[in-house]
Amino acid sequence: MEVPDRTPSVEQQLVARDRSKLILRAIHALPEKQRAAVLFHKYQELDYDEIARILECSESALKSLLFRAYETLRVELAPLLNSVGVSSDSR
Amino acid sequence: MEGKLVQYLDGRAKPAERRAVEEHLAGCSACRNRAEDFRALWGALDDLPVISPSPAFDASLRVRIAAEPVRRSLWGWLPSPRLAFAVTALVAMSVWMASMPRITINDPAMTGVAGEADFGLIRDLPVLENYEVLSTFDALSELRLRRPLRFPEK
Repeated sequence: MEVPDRTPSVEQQLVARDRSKLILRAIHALPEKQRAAVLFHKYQELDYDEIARILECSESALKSLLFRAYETLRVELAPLLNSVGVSSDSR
Repeated sequence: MEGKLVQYLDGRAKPAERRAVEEHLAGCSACRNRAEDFRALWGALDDLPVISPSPAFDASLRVRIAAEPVRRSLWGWLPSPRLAFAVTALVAMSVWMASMPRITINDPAMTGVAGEADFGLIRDLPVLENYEVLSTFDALSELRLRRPLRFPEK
């Protein structure tokens, strides 16, 4: 009985690495406050009131900040998103 | 719409807000496409293996920690573990020493033994005083031999 090898090939690893680099570059290119908001929202999964308190802004201002940040990332990473066709219901 | 879309997509919108956004998306293709793109973007962001917090995160974390109310329970008033251990060891040693049997001179048997020892010391005192004389006493040198010693010849 043969077990299929699920480890990604070298080519797949290189593509994933380039992808990660592009995304990281786009995130780091964001203005400081937008970048912090994205990191807290997407990766730290903090609540809006917590992020707003940390960034010293109102919740409505934070939501606009996040919208602008994701809009910038959407534009910057459009080629990547279109080529891969990523779609998920992740938060 | 700008302030509601993110909250709608991450599932934190209240039911009323959610319904309002869905109604808007149903009639606005631009916002609908943007919402789809945001979902795709978040999927791509999830693919990042590791993302390290920025220096802003450390600073904000310190702010959050400082903002935390100080909780002092009963344990908070206890001294440090080392001090507690030292005090406990001292108390235990004191109890142990207090529980040890004491040798007192009020004991009649012990008093008798001590008395005999003292009496013996007094009785032997002259001998001890003359110890130096006795130790250097060479009685044999003063003996007069009745006949000279003869050693066997080889």
